[in-house]
This record gives sequence, C-alpha cells and structure tokens, in this order.
Amino acid sequence: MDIRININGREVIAQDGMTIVDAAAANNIDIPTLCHDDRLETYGSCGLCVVEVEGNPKLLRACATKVQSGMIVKTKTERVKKSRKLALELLLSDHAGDCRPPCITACPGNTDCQGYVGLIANGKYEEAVKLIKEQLPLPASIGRVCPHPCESACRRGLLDEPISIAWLKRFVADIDLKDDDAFLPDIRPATGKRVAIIGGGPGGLTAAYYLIQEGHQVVIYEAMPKMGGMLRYGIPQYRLPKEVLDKEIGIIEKMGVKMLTGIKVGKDIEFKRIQSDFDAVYVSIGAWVSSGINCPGEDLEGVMGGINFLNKFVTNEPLKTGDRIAVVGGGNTAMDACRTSIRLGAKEVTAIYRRTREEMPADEIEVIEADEEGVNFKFLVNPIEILGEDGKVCGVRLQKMELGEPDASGRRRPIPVEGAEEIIEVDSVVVAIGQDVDASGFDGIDLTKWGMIEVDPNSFQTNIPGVFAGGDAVNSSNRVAIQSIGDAKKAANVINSYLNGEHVPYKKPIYSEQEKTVEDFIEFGRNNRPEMPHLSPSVRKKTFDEVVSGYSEEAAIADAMRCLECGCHDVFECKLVAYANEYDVAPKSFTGEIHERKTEDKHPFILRDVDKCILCGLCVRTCEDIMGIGALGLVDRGFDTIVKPGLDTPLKETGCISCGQCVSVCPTGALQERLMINKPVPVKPAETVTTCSFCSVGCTTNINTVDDLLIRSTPASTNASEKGMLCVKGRFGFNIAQGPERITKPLIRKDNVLTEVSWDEALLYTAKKSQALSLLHGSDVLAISISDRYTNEEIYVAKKFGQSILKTNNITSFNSKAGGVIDVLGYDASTNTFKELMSTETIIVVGTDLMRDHAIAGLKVREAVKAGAKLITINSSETGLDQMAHLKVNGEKDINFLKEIQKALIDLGCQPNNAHGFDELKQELEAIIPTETAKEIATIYKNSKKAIIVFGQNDITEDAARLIANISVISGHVGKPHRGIIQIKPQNNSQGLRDIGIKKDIDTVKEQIKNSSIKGLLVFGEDVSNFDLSNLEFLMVQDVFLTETAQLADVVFPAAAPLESRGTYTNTERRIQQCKQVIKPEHQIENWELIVKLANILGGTMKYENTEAILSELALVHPEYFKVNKEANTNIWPVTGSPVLYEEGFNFDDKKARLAKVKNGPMFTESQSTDNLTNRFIEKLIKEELL
Amino acid sequence: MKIVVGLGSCGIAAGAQKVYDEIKNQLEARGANNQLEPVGCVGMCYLEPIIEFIDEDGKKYTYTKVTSDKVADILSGILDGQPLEDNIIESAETNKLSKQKRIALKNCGVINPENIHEYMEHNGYEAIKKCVQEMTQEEVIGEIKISNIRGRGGAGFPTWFKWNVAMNNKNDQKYIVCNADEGDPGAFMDRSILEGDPHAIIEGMMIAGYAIGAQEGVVYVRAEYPLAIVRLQKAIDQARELKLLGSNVFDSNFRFDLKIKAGAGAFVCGEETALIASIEGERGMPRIKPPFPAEKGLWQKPTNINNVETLANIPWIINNGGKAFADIGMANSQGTKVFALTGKIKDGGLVEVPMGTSLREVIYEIGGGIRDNKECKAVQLGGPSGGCVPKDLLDTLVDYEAITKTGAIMGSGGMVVMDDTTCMVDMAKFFLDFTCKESCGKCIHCRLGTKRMLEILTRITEGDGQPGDIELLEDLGNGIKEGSLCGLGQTAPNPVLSTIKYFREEYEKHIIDKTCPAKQCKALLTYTILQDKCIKCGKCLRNCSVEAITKDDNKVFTIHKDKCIQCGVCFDVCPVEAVLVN
Repeated sequence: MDIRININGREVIAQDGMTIVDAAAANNIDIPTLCHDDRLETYGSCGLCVVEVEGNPKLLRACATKVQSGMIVKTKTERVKKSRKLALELLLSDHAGDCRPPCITACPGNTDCQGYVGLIANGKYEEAVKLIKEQLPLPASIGRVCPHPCESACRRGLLDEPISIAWLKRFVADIDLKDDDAFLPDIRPATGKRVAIIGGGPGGLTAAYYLIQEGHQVVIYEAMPKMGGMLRYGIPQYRLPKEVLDKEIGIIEKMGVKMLTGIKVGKDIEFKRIQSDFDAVYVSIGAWVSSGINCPGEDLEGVMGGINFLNKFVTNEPLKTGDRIAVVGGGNTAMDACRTSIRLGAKEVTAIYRRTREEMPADEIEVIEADEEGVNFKFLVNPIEILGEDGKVCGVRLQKMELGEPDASGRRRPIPVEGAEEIIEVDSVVVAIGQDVDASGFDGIDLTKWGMIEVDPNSFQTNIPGVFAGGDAVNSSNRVAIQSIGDAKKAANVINSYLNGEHVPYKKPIYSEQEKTVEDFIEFGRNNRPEMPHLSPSVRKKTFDEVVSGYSEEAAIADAMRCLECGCHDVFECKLVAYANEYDVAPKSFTGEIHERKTEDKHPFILRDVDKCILCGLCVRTCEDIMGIGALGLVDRGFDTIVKPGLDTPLKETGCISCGQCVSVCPTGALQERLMINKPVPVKPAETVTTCSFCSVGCTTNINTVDDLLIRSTPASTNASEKGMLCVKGRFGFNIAQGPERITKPLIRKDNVLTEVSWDEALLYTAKKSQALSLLHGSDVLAISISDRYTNEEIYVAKKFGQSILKTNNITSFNSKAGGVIDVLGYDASTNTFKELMSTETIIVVGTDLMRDHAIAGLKVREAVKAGAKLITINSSETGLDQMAHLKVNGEKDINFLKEIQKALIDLGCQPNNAHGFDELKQELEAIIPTETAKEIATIYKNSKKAIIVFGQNDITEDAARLIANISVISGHVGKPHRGIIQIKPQNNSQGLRDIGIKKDIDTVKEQIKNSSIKGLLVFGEDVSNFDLSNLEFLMVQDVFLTETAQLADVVFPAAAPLESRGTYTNTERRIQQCKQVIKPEHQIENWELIVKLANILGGTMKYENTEAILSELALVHPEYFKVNKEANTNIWPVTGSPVLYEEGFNFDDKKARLAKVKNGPMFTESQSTDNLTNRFIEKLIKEELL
Repeated sequence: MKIVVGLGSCGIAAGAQKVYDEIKNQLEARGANNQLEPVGCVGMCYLEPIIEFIDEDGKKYTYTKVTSDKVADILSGILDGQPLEDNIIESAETNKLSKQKRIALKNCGVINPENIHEYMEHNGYEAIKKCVQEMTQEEVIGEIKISNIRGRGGAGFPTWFKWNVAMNNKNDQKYIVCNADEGDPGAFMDRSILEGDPHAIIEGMMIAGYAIGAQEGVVYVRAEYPLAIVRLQKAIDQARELKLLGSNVFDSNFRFDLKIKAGAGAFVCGEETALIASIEGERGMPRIKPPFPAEKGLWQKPTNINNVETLANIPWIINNGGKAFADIGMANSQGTKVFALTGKIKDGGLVEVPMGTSLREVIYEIGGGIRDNKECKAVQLGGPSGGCVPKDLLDTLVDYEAITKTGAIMGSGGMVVMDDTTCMVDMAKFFLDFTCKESCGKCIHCRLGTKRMLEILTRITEGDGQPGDIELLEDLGNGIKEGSLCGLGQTAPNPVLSTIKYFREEYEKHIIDKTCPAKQCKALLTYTILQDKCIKCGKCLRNCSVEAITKDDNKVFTIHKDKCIQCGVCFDVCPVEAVLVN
C-alpha cells in the first residue's frame, strides 16, 4: 500500500512496511550505511543511518524504522551529521592501514605512483601513461627533472632503495612519445567558455591541459620566445633534452590549446584586456628574477643570477664568464649552473655554500654528479664582498661559517666565525640563492609583502574575481615543477567549477594513514633497484647529451615489481573512506590503542586484513545467512571483538567454499580478493557484465579489467533470482584461461613435432586433409566435435560448417549425453525454472552434489528448504545438501530404486491420463516390492501439490533420467508451474548445444572412430583425454591450451577463451543469456571466425557481419529461439511461450508422454568433463586443498 | 522449636554451612528432634551467619555472626530455656527491619527454599490458583495494571503494558522469560530471591504465562549463581511433582512448564534481545528494536521478559490485590524496591523499602550510616548504567522519576555508598572499564567510544590529562548515548557524565593541578615523611621495594620522588601516620 511521507521537506511515496532506508533509496535519497544489506536481516551496528523523525526525541536508525503515513524524516540535520561524524572518527581511530601509499600522499601533484608502478609491473604501459596523465601532463619531462618526494617517502627505502618512481614514469612516457599517436585524452563538448593562462611553464601547461579537456577554449600567453618556462629555460639540456619537452608540449597544442609566445603581459598586452576578453584567467608566471646577493661588488661585470645564467645559455646569448667561475648557493639551480659551466669548458668551477653538504637543498644525485664532473665544493663559507678590478670581477671574499642551532626549516643555522675570512680568485660569480617574482604589469592584483601573488590556498582565487594564480608565483617554498603542476591541476578543477557557476574550492582528501617500520616489510627481502645506465663523468663533462639513459623494459618491470603495495587495494570501493570524506571527518580526533593483529591466512583467493575491519558483520552474516556456511564468526568482546574463523583455523580449513561473497560485501579493505595478476595494484577498472562460463546455472558476473588485464570477477545482481552470487568457479576461476602457456599461433605437426605456422598454412592444411579424406572415403568419414563451452553462435556455425561444407552428419560433442528425458517428454530440457524452487513443497535431488558442482543452484535449493520446502536427496554418496534433507538416500545405487518409487506411486493410485504405455509399465513393475524408503518418498512426492525433481544430467544414467521423467508424468507433477524436472547440465551451454541439434550419439561416434569408419576429426574446444583417438588419420584441435588431445593433433588452432568470445549461452533453465567479449584474444581471431574461414577455404560462402547476425539466422532455424531478444538475459525458450514446458501437452504430435520401460542397471554414472578450463580450475582447487 | 540457618551465598561465604552442620551434629548427638531448616538470606549480610530459633509461640531468638565453636553454647542455652545473651540480635537491628516493607523478599530468610511445602504454607501457589480458577487473562492484567508495578530490572517500564502487548499478539506459541542475568557489580538482589524463595519466581512466571497465553518459560540465570540454579531446579522439580507445572494446572486448561538456561556471564546478556540470542545459542549480542520481543522474541515468537524482582512481586499482588500494592509508595512509583547496599556503608546487605523512602533514610537509618562515621560523599545507583547522587541530593526519594532527574537511574537496585576516600574520576573509570570490557562489540559508538573514554579517564588519573578532556568526555559520552544500539551503550557514559556534572572540580584538579583529592589515583600522589611524627623505626625503609627511602647519618628518613612508584606501602606500614600523602 502506498503511503506518503516527507523526507527532507520532499513529499515522497513509500510502501507500507518499508524501512526509512528503503523508502529513501526508492526516492533517490541517499542515507549512508556500512552494515545494511537488503538481503540480510536488519543489523543496525554502524549507526550511520540515523535520522531524525519529527515527534521522536531520539535519533532513529533508518534501517530499522518502518515508515508510517505522514512521517516527517530529516536525514541531514546537524545532529544527524554530528552522530555520523563521531561514528566515522571512532572507526578511523582504530583502522590500521594506508588508504593511499606514502608515495602518492607525498607528491605535491598527487600522481598515482603506486598505480602506474603497478601497471608497469604488469606490462600495461599505455594504461600507466593514461593514469599518470590524470594528474600530470608532462611525465617524460617531470620523470627526468622531478626531485621526487615520492621516492623519499617510498617505504622500500626502509629496506634497501626506494622504487625508481621518477625513472619509471619517464620509462612509460618515453614509450608513449615514441608512438606516433601518443595518448590523447577525450575532450568534452565545447562549453563556449574562454580561459586565459598567463605563463607557459609546467603550471600553465597543466592548467591548459585539464581545462581544455572540460571543453573550454584555452589560450596561453608566454613572455619567452618558446613554451616550457623553467623546464626550458632553467633546466639544462643534459637533464631534460628540449626535444622531449617539445613533444609533450606538442601534445597539448594538438589538443587545441592556443599558445602565444613572446607576449609579455603589461607590455605587449594589458592585463585588463585579458580579464575582459576571457571568462577566467590563471596566472602562473613563476619566479624569474634571481635574488640579489646583497654585498659590496654585486654590480660588477661578471656577476649574474643563476637563472639568468642558465637562461642566457638556452637563448644563445653571449656569455663571458672566463675560466674560473664561482657559483653561490646549494640548490638545484646552483648545481645546474656549476654543471653547465663545466660543460662550457670552465677550468675551475667552485660551488660556494654557507652550510655543509648535509644541508644542501639540491637533489643528492645532482650533487654527486656535479662532484664527479669536477666541481669544487667550498662549504661553510659565505660571500661578503665581490672583489673587482676595472669594474670586472676578480675574486670573492668569503666569511667562514660554523653551524649553530637548527632554524625553522630544521637545518642548522650557519653563523659567522669571527675574523675568519678567505679570498678566492674568480672571473665571474653566479648567484643562485633564490628567485623572486616579477609581477609588474599585473595591475590591480594583490601581492604579499614578499612580492608574490596573494591567493586563497584552496581556491587559488586572487583578489580579482575570476583571476586565479598558482605555482612559483604564489609559493615561497617548494618551488619545483611538480608543485606548480599540482597547483595547476587543482586550480583547473576550481576554475572549471567556477565556470560552471559553482566555485568549489579544492579539498584535501581524507585518508587513513599508518606509520610503518622496516620490520613490517622484512618478508619482502632486500633487493636494490636495477642499475641505471649513466654517461661517465669524463664523457658528460664535454657534452650536453642526456646523462641518464633510461630503463630497459626488463629493468623497469623488475623495479616496478619491487613495490611494497602500501596503498589499500580497495581504496576505490571503500565506503569508509568515501563517507569519511563526505562527512569531513578528522581521522585523528581520537588517539589511543590501535589494533595491529596482522592476519596470516594463506587462502589462495581471499585476503584478510582484520585491522581494517569495522565489524559491520556483513561477512559473517552473509556467510551464515545467505551462503549457509558460517565459516566466519565474531569472536571476543568489546574493543577486541574480531571477525575470524572459529577456533582460529585458517579460512581454507573451515567450511569455506571460497565463493568470495564475504569479500563482495565487505565495505572496506578488510576482505579483499587476492588479485591474480603479476603485481596487484589498486586501480579503477572497467566493468563488463556477462554470463559465467563454467556450469549451466548461468550466473551473471561483472568482470573488472584494465585494458586486457583481468582484475577480478564480482557477482552482479542484474538477475533478480541470483541475488548477486557466484561460486568459487565464477568468482576466482574467471582468469583460468590466462597464462604463459596459452597457444597464440597455429601449429602443424612436422616431423612429429608441433611447429608454429601461419594461419593460412594451418587453414589450408586442415582443408586439404579433410578434403582428401572425404574424396577417398566419402564425407561421412569426417566428424566434428564441439564443446558445450562454446556459444550458441559458434556451435551453430560449426554445425552448419559440418553439414553444408564437410557434408557429414557426424557432428557431436564428447561432453553431451542423449539425455533420456526427451524420450518420455519430447524435449531434452528442464521443464521449470530455478525461481520456482522457492514456491515448491518438495524437492527431490538425484545424483548431484549441487553444493560442490553447481553451488548457486544448491543455494537456491537451500533457500527453498529454509522457506519450508521438504528436501529428499538420492545420491551414491554423501552430498553437501544432505544435512538439510528431510530424507537422504545414499546406499541405493541400482536403478531399481527408482522403479520402486514408480511402483509405489502406482500403488498409491497414481494414473496418468496423458501418456502412452502406462499399462505396459504397470505390468512390468508388477513383481517389484517397494522398500519402506521408496514408499515414503513416493508418498511425500505424491501428496505434495507442488514438487520438483532436480538431477545432474551427466551424473545419472539415461535410463535413470527416463524413470525420473516417468515418475513426474505418472504423478502429474510436470507441465505446471512449480512442478516439473530441472536437469542440471554439465557446462554453461550444454542446453544450447542440444537445442541447436548437436545430438549425434557420442557412443556411436566413439565406436566409429574405433572401427575407423570415422577417419578425420575436427575438435573445437574439447579435451577427450580418456578416449583413444589413435585410429584417426587426421585430427584438428582448437583450444586455449595445448591440451592432451591437442598434443595428439595434426593441426592445432588457438581458441578464444570464454571471456574473449561473444554471443549467447543457454543455461539449464533454457534461459538465453548474453556472453560479452571482455577482452580480445591475443591472436585476434574469434572462434566463429575460424570456422567461417575453414568453411570458406573449402569453397563455402559463409559470411556473417557479427554474432548477432548468426543469432538471427539461428533463431529462424530453431523455432524455440524465434524472436529472441539479443540485448536481454530474460528470454527463456520457447521465447514466445510460457517458461514452463508442456503446459499444453508434451512435445509429441498427440501431446502425450511416452512412458519408458527400462532394463535393470546402475542409477549413477561418472563422467569426465571435456572442458579443459573447468578441469584446469578444478585441478587448481585440488592443488590449493580447497576440494 | 524450629531452628533456621541462613544459607544464602552470603551466609555460606561467612561460614554458615559449617554452623549448620555443627547444629545438625549437636542435635543428633543430643537426640533432639528439633526441626532444622536452611533458609535464604534475610538481608543482613553483614551479620551472617545468622541462626534463628523460633519456639512454638512464635517467639524468635536471632543469633548473628555465629561461629561453629559457639554453636554448642547457644544451642544449650536455648534448649535449656536459658538463651545466651551473646551474639543475640540487637533491637536496633530489628528496627532496621521494621523500616522496611518486604514483599519481594517476604519469604527470604523465612522459609526453606528447598521445601515447596513451606512455600505453600506461606500462601504459595494460591495466586496462580486464583488466576486459573477465578480470573480471565484480562482480569489478571487488569490487576497488574491497578498495581502499576514497573519493571524492577531498571528501565521501569509498566509491567502490565508489556503483558498486554504480548497477550494481544495472536500467536499459538509464546514465551515467558525470567531475566536473572544479574550483572551489575555489587548487585545481588536477584540472587538472594532465587536462593531464598525460588517458588515465588516460578509462581510469578506462571501468572505471567497465564496472563499472556504462554505455555513455556525460560529462566535465564547467570552461571556464576550455582546455588540459585540448584535451588531453582529443585523447586521446578518439586512443582512438577506436585503437578503445579505441566498440564491442567489446578484442574484448569492452563498448561505451563519452564526450564533454566544458564548464561555464560556476559553482562550484555541482561539486555533482552541479547538474552534471547543467548538462549537461542547465538552470540549474546543485542539486535535492533523494533521488532520488540513482545512481537518477535525467542524463536521469533512473542516473548515477555521480566526481571526476577518484578516476578517475585506478582503473587503478592494477586493475593493482596493491585490496589494494596499501589497504596504503597508514590504516585507513579508504587510498591517497594529492593536495594543491595554496599560500599562505605556500615551495615551492608539487602534492603527492601517502600517507594518514597529517601536515600538518606536508606543509608543512615537502615544502613546504619557511613563506615568510620565519615561523611557520605555520594551514592552510586544503577551500577555501570547508572549515575551518582551527591550528598546534597540525599533527600531524593526512591522514585523512578525523582532519581532519573538527578542523572542517576533507579536501576536494578545496586546502591554503592561513597565517602571522601572515593575518587570520583577513578570510580567513573571503574564502571567504564567494566562496560568497555562488557560491550558486545557490535556498534561503533559503544565499542570504540567507551574505549576512547576509558583511555581519556585513564590518562586523567595518571596525571596526563589535558585541558579540554572534560569537554571531550562530555561530547563523546553524549554521542555514545545517542548512537548506541542497546541499553548498555546508551547508559555506559552515565557514571562519567554524572560525576562530571556533580564533581567537575575533582576532574579539574586531576587535569590541571595533577592531584587526586581522594588520594586514590596513585600516579598523582606524593609521599613525604613528617619528620616531627617519625619515630625512626625504619619500617618504611625496609618495606620499600624500590629503595626510594633513605636514611641519613642523622637518622632522617626521606622518600625520593624520582624513585617512588607510589605503591603506598610506606603509608600502610607506618605505625604512627608519619607518612603524608598528597
């Protein structure tokens, strides 16, 4: 019943019985929660969902409060926010872990170091560049010049040496630049807004790069003749070749940024004019004036600023320095000046610094290399006079210094030593002790007392509306390119919001951080970074060639693999960190004890980190209430409460079925998938929702990828009956087809060795061999077998190829059995859907360990039993469902038991009116005396209004299946909703295979191979290792790996694995579901394309645009598939009819069933799957001791 | 002549079992056939072991603090008609009893709890008989409504209302649960009733069961009460034997039976939803309400949960009428309330007073005042969920609303009396430490909030308190109260908040002056030797474990602060109080 309530002033409709949380969600009002899941009973532990309800003095938990007509709810009052904030702050006070690694948090540009290092480790260079460029548009340049605070923060440095983050950045950026079509980001539709950027240095270029992506028009005004700012004019060629810089600037220009060089604001164009012409202005003019040395002699000829010196050199202005040069200062500019002087050929270069080497702000490597190149260092001296002769420099008088107490920067302050002086003779003096901002020409802009542009630190807004500024022009410290870039990236976001009329200032993200020590990483072992090739000092002294040559691919990957993975892999999914930011919490509000319990659990798929657990109980409850396993529990009390398996056993030794459901529901990183890629890395993956390709249940899975890297498979809840569940196969077997052993090229047996050949050669060879056999012995000596793993489209094309090109009727599948049910009812198919199990009184499960082999189907049975259904299990041995069974039969192995049930049903008066052969059957059964158990089963089954029999098709004999069909007909439990048979088929598309008509009896085919009436076999995706194929004269195999069968073949073709294929699968309910191509096969050729190629070589004219076209044709040939919707997963065939089969009678002309008489024999069979991928994964589970 | 010996846990702890055995031996030796009965606690725990001799005329001789070696003399005196004067109870003590009104405790210490006939002789099972034979369910609830008895477990929710909701729930299966998971430190009301008068609980549950339509009951007793469990089980067995439990109770259609579930000692299991989870075999963890147990309780069925004391009052109400009960006490708090009087009180024990009695009367007139005749500083009511009432408010009456107004709660009856040697910060820390450890860990505010509050309190008592800590405690405390799921968390900050309310300056002294006025917080204490008092015996020096005390050539003893670990041994051993604590 609809009722009206008011939430936050909005009148909304809710249904009676709903909770406030549900009602709000139904009306798109978000109420935060960390512990609620609508599949589970309300728990109420997190308290984040509290709301105020008018008339109630208390805060109420919205997850537990039912709506009432006229209720007035407020979800965002100050009181509510305060309570939520407190909860989050308390959680963070005991949340041990780093959301993001120190390298990222230390970077002023927030580049995702761990992310791109991880991607490089996985060989994903393009993706790495893309990721870098989300924060930084000049990676090749910055990778060369950055003083890399990331590396100083890198914890690998605790062990040995930090990761070479900057070099790795340069490594991938260089690869990208080599490429003619280097990465270009997408650009949004034009907004019509115009932004002027003043200054074409790293900051200006960065702002331009991000603003143009938003669709704004961007113009850069640069005062110098070329773009690049200090990167061009302040950094020498040997550190940053200008060609690299030019290429990176070229990309930004290619994106459409207009670059006007040689235009100085205030001189060539009025600042006012720019303001009026543009909607926003970003001022990033840097600090270009060398600070004066402030001592007598400053004006002498031969004294110059460090930046001017470097700059003049770049612009080819004449420099008269003489042979002896003194450089004053200890920063990078001073080192650059020293090293440039050396390269210019100066005989004596002296670096003068007032403290010691320890305190030098220049990069360590700069100092080392300067030293190697022959620079003299004079420490603890300060120039107090520059001496001149004829107006020209001839020497410097130096005051000797000593170190005193540390100053504000933490470095020890230099103090003069009374009376200790020294004079050195030099020809020129380069003063590189700092730079000032020249803001002349920017009329009306407020400056600080130091002459820098004054801005709000978070909005980058100057005193003039619409004018923003950043970089060296506003920063007095940390004047490095990456800082200017960081400012510009943040400012670009602010400017974009300003242009959109919102003006949102930058907010520093809130993260959980943790101190670590070397002990925390000892287990990684020590391993230094790979050696970086450098030019030797003797060579580089004479050249401006780049000193550092860059990593090879091998070295880059080796270095990237050293990453300690400090940052949490779940940071992008973590609800805790999202809420912490939303509620603007102070993570350090409460200090005190923090748990550090370090979970050691060697589960192959699931990673537990209890110190990130927030005790929402979702994992425990999901495992218990949804999966029915109960592998995890809450242990201990109070602050020390912990989630872990009972009795502290490792997870994999519990009843855990590795479904990963606990991981899916965990709101933080306390439970994670162990990523099965070379280097696990936190990334925002792409998502593709598709159908699982293991068993016939057909669950929906969400495959996460980065490019063609398969990251994870998570349950997707698009299909309501699945409730977002996967079993271990779907969850962790998704990437079983990946691996170095994949076949990517066709192979032909030459001299008894399988040898790689071209596609054409292999195709031609196959065609010729088949043709020859056919010509010599007739076309029926050829046979095709195809895996029921293949899509309907692939199977259809294979069948057509066999029938119309090879002209053989021998089209089969080694994994498929004739069924049995078809003989009695008319179709080899389940009659009802899984959903109907929920409304059934009695379920009989025969011959399958559902919980083991088709766990999600097992869960559906379990759920039905929980809802009140009676379960009877009949199996050869104990199964996972037995403990829930009302009655279990494990000892009966003879088919006679089913006959007894049949007889008992007849004795109870069952008599079908829509079947042939009842009297004969009755007669045949006359002598049978049912056991008490058989009688009991028959009684329960007969007396249930609704009953469904579930059996495993490849686990029972065909005769047993016939008897099950008989039983359902005799008792009238078929042909109606909630009554019927569900036959669980072995593989994802076993049903489709039968529907398309691959039904040549496999036993007959095997016999024909044995007696050589079949001489040539083309196998698509099957591994028939337990059957002797040696009589064949020709064997072609297409598969993902070199299976045992493939090893025997004359020709082997690489196959596309399921995630590389597209089309449809028909599950065991007859549901036609989409299979989407998630990644491309490395060999580029899809399975159906191979078959089409083979067909056409043999003279066929098969042509399909795509798999949709195949499906269209298929649907015309197979009436059950007629009008199939290619987009939806909801079609159950007959597409145009009821999902329940036989409502109008059985699938025979007279609509009557054919009751079967069967001989005595066994009830169960054992069959070996021919799907190599399934078998491989099962092997893996056995190896990991999970089975 | 009947002889009764108090054999409650308190009596046994004081040695009553030995006394009982001695009497039995003596009687046997004498060949006397006097009736000797064990009884429960009469309430005067501080006087245990207690023996009573009741002659045929009903004249009573009560001997207290009896030891087994005195038994012979006392027995001889009584049996020879010349009762000994020693150890006989003083009239003042009897007066204390007269100030009380015993309803819930009426049989405790009077009847033999292991003998159903004694209970029956005291009107036992008359009330349930009356119910099933003469009253409808509605009439029973009507009578309870007239009495207006409120839940004695602490929350004070009207009992009739709960019963009525449960009765109106049309479900074929309902449960009645007795909450005997008495967990407050210092509280032992329920234990005494279970040990002293178990049949009253059975009868109370039967009446409740009849009223709401339940046929099954569960008594959830903490496993730390073995004697209570044994006696209750014996009582259940006896009741079954007499067909009081089972089908057709008193030839009616009423069928009722009950069982005991021993809890494993988690404080939170006293919370009704956690208690239900515990009975069901789950982790004892509260779940969110609604649904309330009256709608969906034990095994998802309507369930009514009452506390021991509440149920012990029920037979009396039925026998005497709701009005008689309502006539006792205040306008909105009727009947009596049992308190466990502990702390710095002279005469600790169990008392049952009419509602409306003042706290002052309870402490001074019944409890005999403060030990060593010191001044009362405050009374802590309601245990870890409660708060303290300062001495200025001792005239507060025992009344749900009046006590709540002070910031404390009536609670289940714990009453801890404090004098000037009690540090209020330390006391608050004690209770918070308790709730922090007993939190089930489910909700954030309680699990982490109490821990952080405890850490702040700890640092305050250790001299590391910082300005702003009091405000932080208040903020956190109020946040925990507001955000917690169950009663445990919602009340856990009360001891802290109420002590801050009344003793803020004591907190400030700890934080700013780094002193503990009550001289309890060791880290804040300094010990010095008063040279004028010192007799130079050297005991302090010899007992100091860290060599912080030295003696110089002039025999001057000095305590060195840098070495002193504030253990207080010197203070304790000094024979002349020459060690000064500051």
